[in-house]
Amino acid sequence: MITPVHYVLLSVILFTIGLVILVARRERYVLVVGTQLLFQAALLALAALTHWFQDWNGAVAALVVIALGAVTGGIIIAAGPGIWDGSEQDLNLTAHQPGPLGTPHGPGEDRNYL
Amino acid sequence: VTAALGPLGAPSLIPLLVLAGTTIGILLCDLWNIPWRLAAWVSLTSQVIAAVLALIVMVSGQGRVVQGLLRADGISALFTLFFCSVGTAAAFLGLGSGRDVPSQDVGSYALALLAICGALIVAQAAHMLSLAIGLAVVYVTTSALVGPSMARQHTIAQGVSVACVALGLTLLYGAAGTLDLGPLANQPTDQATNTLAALGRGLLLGGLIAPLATAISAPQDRKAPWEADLQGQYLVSLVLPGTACAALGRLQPIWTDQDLLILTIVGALSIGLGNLIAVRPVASAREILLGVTFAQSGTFCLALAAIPQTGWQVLFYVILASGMSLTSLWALVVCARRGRAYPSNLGDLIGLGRHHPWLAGATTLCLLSLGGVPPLAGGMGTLALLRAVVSAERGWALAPAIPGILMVWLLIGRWSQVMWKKLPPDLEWRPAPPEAVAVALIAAGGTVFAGIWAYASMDWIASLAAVP
Repeated sequence: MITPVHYVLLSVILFTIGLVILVARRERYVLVVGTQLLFQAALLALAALTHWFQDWNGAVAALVVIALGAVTGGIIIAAGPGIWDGSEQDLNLTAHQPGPLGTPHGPGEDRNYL
Repeated sequence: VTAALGPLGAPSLIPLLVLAGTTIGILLCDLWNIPWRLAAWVSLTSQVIAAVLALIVMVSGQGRVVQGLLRADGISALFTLFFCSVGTAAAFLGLGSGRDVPSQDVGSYALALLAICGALIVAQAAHMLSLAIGLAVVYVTTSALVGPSMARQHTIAQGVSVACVALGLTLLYGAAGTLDLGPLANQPTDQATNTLAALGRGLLLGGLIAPLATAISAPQDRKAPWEADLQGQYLVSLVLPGTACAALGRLQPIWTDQDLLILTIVGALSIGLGNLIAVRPVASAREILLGVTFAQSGTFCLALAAIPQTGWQVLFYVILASGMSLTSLWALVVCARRGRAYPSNLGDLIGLGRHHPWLAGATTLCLLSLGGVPPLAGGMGTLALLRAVVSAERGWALAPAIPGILMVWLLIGRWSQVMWKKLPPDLEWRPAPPEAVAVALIAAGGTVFAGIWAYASMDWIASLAAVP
């Protein structure tokens, strides 16, 4: 039988994965995924415990956590140098194509760091 | 819902409502392009009114503890005074730094007010929801105030912090079955010792200590040191540690001896490391501010860990002393920015003592205060802190802390040497903005006043903190 403890364990694992992503990667959208994993881990544990306690306060708290995660992700995307003006290209989607003036764009090259 | 909204009618929450109303007013008026000076003065006035109201409400005994989303008591009134004072000084510094700028962003004044509102919500939090919302408001607004090149790093660090707090409080919720911070803090010992609660406390402690470190992100900006408004960076460097202190102090009953031990170790190491960064011969002005802020955050940690033995008065007194000293240093940066250029290192302040003796004297006094010289506020605060640490039986923490405090003397020596040098003929100091000089002089005067009447000040703080 799956108990709230299992959900809490899963949330701790998700949280750890999120932290590892934030430490190991630097691309903007991957960082968004990392922070969202942190918030979703908290949300999962909160939802499981709310269901366990049958407590509406926990449901309201879950909505707040969702909002916090969305705001954080939005700011990470919006903040810093712009991606629309060409000053930054995340995830290197054109890795297989030659760059301007024959600049090589091989895997691992031209990664965008903060 | 009624119980949650009930405390909003309490008179002690009026300061928060005043600030929130002013924020909305400034944002709406921004649509009609109001002059930034008007926004600065409105922001400044509203914060003075909020601080006075908080004091009046508490002294007249109108404050009361209300369990709901928010609560108001003497401690929240003290934090209101601190945050509003910082906000007022920031608005005043903005007036000074904006003299050479044709227009400033009106929205930055609204953001600064919103950051103060978030800090007040944290200081008055009685529920997990209000704590998380308050922290998020502070983090989001300060991310916008630190400058574009640091905004993303700042947001990520703060996002991790909020997520740690959210998961930590959720695990404590699982252990205690409630989201109210009061019952969470008073949970039985057997629950406090179980794995879930221990993990929750660890995450909570890590998440709340993080703002103490991220407070340095403003002066840490390497690519464009002073690109954002100076008043915004000043606000961030004081409001974030204050918010962390409010949250850590509010949750103080849940911390076990092990948690307080971790807090003490972090504090002692921060003092040593921060001052080491500040006194390096190659340190830039930005790194000096970074190191000093980091070291002061360490003293807050030591004072927080000693709350069970000494109460709140030592923590508040240390926050007060540190706030005044850092305010004076930031006022100097504003003056130096107008005088020649943004100061990139200590050498840029050459000749300051000869051309602006009042400003140089005020900042020297505040540096001496940071160096722990009695009877200045920093010195008396350091003595009270040392006594508190020893009474908490953590005297070993002084081993890295005392050398760290003494290291400030190296900075004072270099400072004095540069300041009284003769200015080269090709350089010139322009008149300093009177607002920034006034802020520096008030901060220095406060340092002397609070130092001479240190014990009276601590007694007053203790009496106000005791208001239920």
